[in-house]
Amino acid sequence: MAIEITLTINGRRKILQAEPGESLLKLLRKAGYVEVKTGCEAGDCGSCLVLLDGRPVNSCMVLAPSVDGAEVTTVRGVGTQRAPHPIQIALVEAGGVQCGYCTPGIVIAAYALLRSNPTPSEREIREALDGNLCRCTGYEKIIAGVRLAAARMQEEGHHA
Amino acid sequence: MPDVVGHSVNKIDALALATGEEKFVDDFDLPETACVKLLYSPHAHARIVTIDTSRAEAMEGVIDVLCHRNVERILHTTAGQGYPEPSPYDTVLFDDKMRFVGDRVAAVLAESPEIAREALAQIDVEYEVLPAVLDPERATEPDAALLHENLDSHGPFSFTDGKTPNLAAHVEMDIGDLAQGRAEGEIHFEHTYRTQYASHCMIEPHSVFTHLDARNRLVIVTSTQVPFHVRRICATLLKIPVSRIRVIKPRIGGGFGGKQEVFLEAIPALFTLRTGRAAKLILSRREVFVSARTRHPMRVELRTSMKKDGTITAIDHQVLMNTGAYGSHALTVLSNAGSKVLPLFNKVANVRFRGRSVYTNLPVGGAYRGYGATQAYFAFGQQVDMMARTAGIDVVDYYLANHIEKGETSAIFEALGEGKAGVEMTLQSCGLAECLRQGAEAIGWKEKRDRRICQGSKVRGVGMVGLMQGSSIPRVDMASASMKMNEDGSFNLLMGATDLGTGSDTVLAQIAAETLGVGIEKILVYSSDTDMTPFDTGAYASSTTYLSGEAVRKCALKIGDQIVKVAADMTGRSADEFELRAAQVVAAGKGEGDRDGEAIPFSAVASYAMYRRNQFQIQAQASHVSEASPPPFAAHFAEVEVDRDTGEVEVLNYVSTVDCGVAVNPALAEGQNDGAVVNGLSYALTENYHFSSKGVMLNPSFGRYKIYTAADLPRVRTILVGTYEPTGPYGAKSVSEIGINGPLPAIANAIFDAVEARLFEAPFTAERVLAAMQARARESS
Amino acid sequence: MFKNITHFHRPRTLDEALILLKKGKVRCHAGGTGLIPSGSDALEGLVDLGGLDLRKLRRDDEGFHIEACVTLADLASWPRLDGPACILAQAALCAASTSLRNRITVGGSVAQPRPWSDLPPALLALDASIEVVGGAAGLYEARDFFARNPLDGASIVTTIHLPALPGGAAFHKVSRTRFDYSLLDVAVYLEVQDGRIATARIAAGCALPRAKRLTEAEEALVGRDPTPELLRRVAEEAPFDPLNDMRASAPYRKRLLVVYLQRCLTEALEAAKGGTN
Repeated sequence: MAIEITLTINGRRKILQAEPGESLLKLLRKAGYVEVKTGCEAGDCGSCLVLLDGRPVNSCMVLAPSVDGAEVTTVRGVGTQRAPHPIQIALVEAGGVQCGYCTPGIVIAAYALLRSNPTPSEREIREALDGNLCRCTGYEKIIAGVRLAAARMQEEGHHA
Repeated sequence: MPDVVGHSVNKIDALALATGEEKFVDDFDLPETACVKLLYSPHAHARIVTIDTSRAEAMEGVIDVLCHRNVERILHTTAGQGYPEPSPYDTVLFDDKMRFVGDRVAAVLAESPEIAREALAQIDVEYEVLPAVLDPERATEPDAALLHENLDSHGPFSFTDGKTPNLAAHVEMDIGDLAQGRAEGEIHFEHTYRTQYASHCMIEPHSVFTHLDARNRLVIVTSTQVPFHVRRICATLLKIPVSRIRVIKPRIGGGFGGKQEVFLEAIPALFTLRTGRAAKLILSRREVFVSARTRHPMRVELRTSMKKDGTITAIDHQVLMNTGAYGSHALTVLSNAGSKVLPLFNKVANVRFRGRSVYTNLPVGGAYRGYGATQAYFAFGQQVDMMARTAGIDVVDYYLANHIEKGETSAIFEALGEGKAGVEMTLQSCGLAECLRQGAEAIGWKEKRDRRICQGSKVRGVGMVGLMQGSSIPRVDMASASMKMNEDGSFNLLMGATDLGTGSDTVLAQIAAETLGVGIEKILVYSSDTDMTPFDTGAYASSTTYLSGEAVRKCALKIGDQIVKVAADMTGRSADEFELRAAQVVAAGKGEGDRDGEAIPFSAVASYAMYRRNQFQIQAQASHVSEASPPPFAAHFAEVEVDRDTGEVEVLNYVSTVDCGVAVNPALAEGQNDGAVVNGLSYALTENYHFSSKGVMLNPSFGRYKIYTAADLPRVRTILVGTYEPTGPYGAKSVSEIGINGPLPAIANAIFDAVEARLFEAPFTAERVLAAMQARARESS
Repeated sequence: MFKNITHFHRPRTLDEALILLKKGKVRCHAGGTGLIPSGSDALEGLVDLGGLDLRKLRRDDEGFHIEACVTLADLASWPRLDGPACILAQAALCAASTSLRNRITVGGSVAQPRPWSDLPPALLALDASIEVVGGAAGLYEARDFFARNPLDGASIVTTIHLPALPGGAAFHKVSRTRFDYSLLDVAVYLEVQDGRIATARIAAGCALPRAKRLTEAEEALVGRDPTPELLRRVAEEAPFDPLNDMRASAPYRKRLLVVYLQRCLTEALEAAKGGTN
């Protein structure tokens, strides 16, 4: 028995049909937001991270009906190729993108971090990424990318 | 115009990945795509007495069901290797015998994942449970239950010895006279080392999407490292010609060897052929842990002899490898445990290598970065550390004195191959000495070694290891590329080479750009589509830069030849008067900025050839088979802190230096190495498969099988040490695997440096480290 | 996707929620991270507490009052949580990753305590009380609550109360990686008066089926002069019968307790004497 829920996704209002026991991840992907990835469906890997009312959450662990009325931001809401966000550019330039499967989740986590803490320490960057598994990069260049993004955003007076 | 090779250009797909605009297998869809789910065996070893799928088939929304009763038995190997594959043909799509908990019983095609899951529960199976072999060290006992019958009657090779039960493969190699070597030795070392199961943990699970196109051809979109092997093996299993299949690899989310395996594609493909429906099979994380592929656990019994001055007189390397229920890569991983380690000590005259891969009723081993070398270096790296200490020589100096050098060879190269004979090789590059020096300095080796600096209950130590690997499989694997030129001076580069996140699309584009003297933006890459791109064996054995890169370079050279010939035609001059520079054809031998003579832009050349006179499409193709497998070299240095009260180990600092020849893209090479090292760190300290007494894998989730996040790690530093390998494109070798081989031995050696206790079994859990310390304390009291 | 769940209720008052719970085959839902996909049809519906506005954090002279739907993230970053109560923030930070802490609620952690939950040991050491409405209504001492789990299916945890405490506390989680189920949690609270231990509360969790207080160890401390020798002896002799599982053996967990209890006692003592935490 589907429930109608309203979400504002990347700034656009969407009315969607969700099953009572359906995860936000599944709902988003069904609605075409395939940039939100499936890695484990258990809240362990972070590849499904989205912003929910501004906070990063594992969308695989969120029941869609429970977030009726919420604002959701996916990685494409942070930036697209036409208008990339400094975080995305910095990750690219620092070599922090290999297979790219974890990258949408990383972008969300980094975006949330820099919004609340524009000048994070190395430790704070690492801890903000504590729920993002990456098997390709060993994290070094991801952290370098976030550091680079923070520095550039400070310089340019850019607010996340 | 800056050269392209040697520069850290941005990965060409990186921005699209960072914005979520690149598509992975599960992101593709067609209307009414049906869902495939698999039913697995709950028993480690059992015969299917009856299987009744009628209730499942009768369910609303269930389209088709497969099991051994309606699928032909075609013996094959799932190993993604070139034909004829050097792995036993011991697998069928659906068997009537189950050989591990997680083996495949049946498959369902349904309108939705929920219906498919429910349908699995409606399949009635009656099993006859058989005794299970759960201990590889007992698998070859005469009364052990037999997993496979009549192995040698199938497949192109023979793997058994005709008498040993559950033997999947064996290797023997002798050099010199072992007994003599032992006799010459004055001090003998004999230890047994054990490494554990591991999962690749690539973040994208295995994913396959199949459908029929408008010509009724089967299209398989799959997350694979080996698209051409997928095509061939599926053709065999589906009994349709290769010409009826197209395999496409889109963006994929990592593999590390776990997707160098063709064990899923035929199932959705078979459903598509039978029903006409598009089908998708996406494994859950649990299924990836249990039913996909793993790293082969290994026991290494290593006996070495040396003189008091440290000269090694004999090496006796004996390996027992647990290949699990099926023998995918059972021979080749086993062989690499010898071939990628023994040549490092090429001056040792007396070497014996014996290896056996045995079947057990446990999850299946397969290709995994390092490929047998990882396991063997755990043993060698520690034994060398022991030997150096006993001889009173700093282990870094010990490596410097003993390692194979440029200009040298090892008898092992020819003696140990991959299914066929090995290939003799004389090294034309070796940067290990420089790796050793730079790594030692970076970690602070002299200041920290043997110091046992304490703070409260914690004590520090440093350890290291020297490594080599290989670059491609000589005379076995082949790569090819084709290029065509467009009228704006851009080029389409088509290659079978498979980018699994490694950035090979970028690296190979750099090689093409360098050869033609253009910027990388002029190279339009399309890869890994069996209809459109020429053959490549696939991404494994650290081959893509070295082997596929050389095919690309040769292809680009031919294009360059055609360009100058057209310029000659345009100007009435001869081709040898010209060369390529900065996207133009210029007079040969002239310096930069020399204004003598005309410069013809590439666009003018292409336009002329396409439209004006003697019209033809500037295009070329080239293939390459390597004659050598020039090893990359590395030296890893670890600093750890051990809590003497609890055994907890923290890695404080890790430096890896690596000689990959010329790094075509330094940032990508570093990134590869960083990732390999961090994978090795958790393999050393936290990763493990736990099994019940009945062979059930108990921790099939990231929650219970631990790998590191950014919050767990210290700085991990990669230092590239450059050399020039003349047989590789622009001097390149390879870098993708070697980094994972360092952490096990380097950390074990660092723990010994700190607390004088040896770890002979991985992972080094705190409990094991504490037990080792306590055993050591008892020994010395 | 949990196919068996066919109803998702969003009550607007506690009373509405309690009535829904009484109907049976339903369960409370807050963050939702504790929901285990059930193959059985026993669970048919969820009662979402999101509309009840149980998200307040309050501090007064009596202590701290944390409503059930406060997330671990909000708890950990609450600036008014100070003194010994900080160990609850510490436990919250260890309990899960950044993104999961944005969903996991304090009430959920308490109402469905799993063996591996990190909050209960801290709550036990801090002498928390748990306020419940519905069928099992009452104000429960943490010790009692975690010992017998009094909740029936028709109750809701509404608030967790922490008394204002003068002493010092320490908390330690032992795990293989940062984001991992714990091998052992230890939480300690001490008060010192005239050079002797006046109050001692020691709690252990994750190595046991249920988090609990180590009362014999507490009794061995009260009234005594807290020398390092005493702390060491109490830690070594604390009766403790931990779990044996694939990740660690019982003897090893016992060893961990001995080591970390001693360290936490030392740390809590410093904090108690220094008056700061």
